[in-house]
Amino acid sequence: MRKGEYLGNFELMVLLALMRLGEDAYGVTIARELEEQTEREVVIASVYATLERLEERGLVSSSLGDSTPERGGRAKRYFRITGAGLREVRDARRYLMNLWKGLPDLKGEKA
Amino acid sequence: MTPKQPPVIATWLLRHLGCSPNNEAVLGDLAEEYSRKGAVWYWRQVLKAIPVSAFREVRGHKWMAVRAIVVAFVVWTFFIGSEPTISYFLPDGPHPSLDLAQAPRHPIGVAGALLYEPVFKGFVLKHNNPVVFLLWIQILLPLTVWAICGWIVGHVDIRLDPKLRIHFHRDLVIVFAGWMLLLHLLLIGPAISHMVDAGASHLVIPVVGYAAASIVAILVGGSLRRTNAGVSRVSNS
Repeated sequence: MRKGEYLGNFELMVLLALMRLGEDAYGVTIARELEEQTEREVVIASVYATLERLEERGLVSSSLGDSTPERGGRAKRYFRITGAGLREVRDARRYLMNLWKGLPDLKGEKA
Repeated sequence: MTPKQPPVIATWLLRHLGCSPNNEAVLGDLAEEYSRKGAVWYWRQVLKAIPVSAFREVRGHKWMAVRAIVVAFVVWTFFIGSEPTISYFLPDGPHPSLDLAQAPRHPIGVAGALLYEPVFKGFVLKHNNPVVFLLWIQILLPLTVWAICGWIVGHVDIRLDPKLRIHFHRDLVIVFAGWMLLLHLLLIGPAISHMVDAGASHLVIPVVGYAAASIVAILVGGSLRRTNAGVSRVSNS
């Protein structure tokens, strides 16, 4: 990753979803995980666009999986977070935690 | 009850206009979720997937996108310039030469005149055989040229960057069509008010129809290319 380039919000969410899903991370499961956690509809193509960008940066890797009739005979593409991706997530967590420290509770919002 | 197969038209659109390297995987994921979420969701995903993938690809290849659009405009301008020659070979009737003298003398007016020339010409020129004239000059020829423009935009990457040719052509076509749509929207408003003021309100519907048809022609022309989209497709057998 280029120096000074931070993970975007959606990029970080996708990486976290990959970590939660482990071996079973492909478009559908990643989108479902994000929808469950964010309670917003996710565009599957946006997930892929983000994954492609992360893959170019070496933060995730992908491999073709099996296909099922319900997918119209199309193969699944599985994604995994790489070591560099894990480091980025860890760094992002540290930056965010540092930024949150010392901030007062947000009034009117649930914790 | 949700039909087993996803909407065919939506699938066709994404298959031909989607430009992500993972387009087949996206289609597979959409098909997998379709039975759970239904046709409205499927259509919404497809209509968002096309611009999302196009924007992502073009963002990484800006100069190639500009080059493709310029090439398409050169083709269109060449068509406008050669139209008098083409009309010379029309059966029955005078063969008037075309000029852009009626265009307002400012860039927007000239751009509008260039873009909508086939429509304006039909109403300006008198022809002995209006049906042939209308069909040829105002409909078939311009739509063919727009389709050729779309086709060229879709092929401009072959020589320039062979590694990208599998998917890259589609986003250029989408960008070109989107750019043309924007241009139409920007030009048609002032053009319509000008037509109404000039007592030529009968031109409004042909201009709008022609604008819509030109976008469709570009997309059709751009999709007239066999792709390797099925490479990652795995047989059920």
